[in-house]
Amino acid sequence: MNASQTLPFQMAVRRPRTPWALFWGRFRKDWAALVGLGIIFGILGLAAAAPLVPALKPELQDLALRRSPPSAGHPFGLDHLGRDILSRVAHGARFTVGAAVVATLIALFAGVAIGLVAGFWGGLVDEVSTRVVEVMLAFPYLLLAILIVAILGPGLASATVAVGITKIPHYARVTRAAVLSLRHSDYVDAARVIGATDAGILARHILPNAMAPILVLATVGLGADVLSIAGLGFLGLGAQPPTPEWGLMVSEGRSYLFEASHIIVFPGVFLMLLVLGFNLMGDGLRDALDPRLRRR
Amino acid sequence: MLRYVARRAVGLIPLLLAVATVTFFALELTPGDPAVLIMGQDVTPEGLAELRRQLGLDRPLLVQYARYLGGIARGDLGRSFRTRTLVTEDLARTFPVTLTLAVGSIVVASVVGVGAGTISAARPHGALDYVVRAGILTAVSAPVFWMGLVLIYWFSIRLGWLPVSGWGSLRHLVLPVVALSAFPLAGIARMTRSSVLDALAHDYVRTARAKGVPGGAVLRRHVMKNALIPVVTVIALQFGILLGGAVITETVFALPGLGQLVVTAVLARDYATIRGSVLLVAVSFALINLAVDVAYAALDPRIRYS
Repeated sequence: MNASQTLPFQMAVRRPRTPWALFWGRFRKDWAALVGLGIIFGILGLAAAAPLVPALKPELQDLALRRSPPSAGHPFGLDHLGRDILSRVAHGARFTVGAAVVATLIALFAGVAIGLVAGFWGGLVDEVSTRVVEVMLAFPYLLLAILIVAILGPGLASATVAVGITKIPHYARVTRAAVLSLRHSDYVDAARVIGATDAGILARHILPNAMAPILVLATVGLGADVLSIAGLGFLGLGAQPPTPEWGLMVSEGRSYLFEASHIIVFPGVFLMLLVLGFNLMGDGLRDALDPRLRRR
Repeated sequence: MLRYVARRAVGLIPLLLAVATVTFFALELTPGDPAVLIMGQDVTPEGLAELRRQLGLDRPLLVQYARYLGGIARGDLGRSFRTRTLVTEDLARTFPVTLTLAVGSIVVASVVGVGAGTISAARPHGALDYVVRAGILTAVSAPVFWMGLVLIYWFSIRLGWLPVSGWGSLRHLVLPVVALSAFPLAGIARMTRSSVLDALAHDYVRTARAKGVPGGAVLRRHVMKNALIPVVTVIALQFGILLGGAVITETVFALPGLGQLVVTAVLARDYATIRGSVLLVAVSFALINLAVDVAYAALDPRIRYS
């Protein structure tokens, strides 16, 4: 029901559109992005709800029924140890999503901080951080993560930190480039003239304007981080049994590919859905935040 | 041109020195004594001291570092902590497998990716465009290990067309290359599509069309030359991602490559092997990036190296 239809007259005054309203107006017309958002909310809901549903028992083993295919009682079937795969997928959502979010936050905060300092003040800090970024980028992406896991020891926490550190250069570069392009803009000069401090200019003028590309990078990056952390889990360098992390679940099921292929199907499908959700939403965010970057 | 290549190659030396230094000291930060790990249950103080002497772990850190760098200069990467074999020999055995897999995959990804991206851009919002874009989204969202297992399930177990795993013939290479090339292929197709669309919007394309040049010839002669330059950058970027994906793909298909070597070494804290393989991959990666920069010159006469 549209409110204006019930009013006897049209309101003449329109409030100015906030940036948020502008963004949402564009974003909500993008059905692909909305599908992505729906997928992400669905999986977040699953992650939040799993511990509250007593019927979902990820640890319970029924050895007599191990490797049995999907049935009414166990919609996703049972794994090689007779554990309910639906329960494990539902509980695993927390680990997979949580690890990717933490990894992205590590990369985001460290990378943005380095990029801001390097781009704004330049000089020695810039020189050093540029060199460090160069060395980090000299390692192929997953290999650097593996090297960091080698230092920290295998585990979900190490894999998360490793993926986070590996991504720092990406955020540092994007932030630095944005800061460099804004540093000498008129409104920054104006702020300086009226006596704003460096920190104030960074926080109030530069960071908000640099945020769009960083947000897009973070959203698409979440999908990539899900894949990397699951990949490390698959290699045995990430989450350790009996954690129901999705990559590890696929790895554990691969010996039974011939007789019980359902074991790898469900965690794999959920991984793919989650990454698809982040990718769709990332593309939508980019189009809505900066129409100039729109892909045709 | 030749001078440019030479200068860039010299420029690689400090970068690789930094890479070697990082890998050396990073692993030194690791808590725990590799010698204890190697000896396992039956550890005795005498045996431990002897092993530490053999591995050179009893020397001061800086001496170990200097010996490590000196070894690299002579092409000696030390001995594996775990198997006591020469790291260079292990690398010589496994690297060709990884290189074949990686190069095969990037070639497939580039050829198919540029083709698919061009088809997609030729008729934006046409049926083929939607098929290609749906394919791109699927390929960038599917984990490489899962895709590999699905391929094994269908093409090896169900249909029986291709071997499940192993190495030795071209048939062994098909499924790993398909699985590994999917992700970079999607990235390359995506870049090609937007780059071709950009190029199509230029005035010289309209001029060519107006004077009656057929569509295919416009694409070949005018559009592609300009559109491919950013695509080359993406191919290089994707190659770095692909080298990581190769580690996972080798595990899925049980290929005797560098990836298997690295993963086993990490789990066993085999520092010498980790260092050697990481260094080798970083060197290859640096050389690829150099090759890409040189390829720009061939593609884009506007870029002059001085």
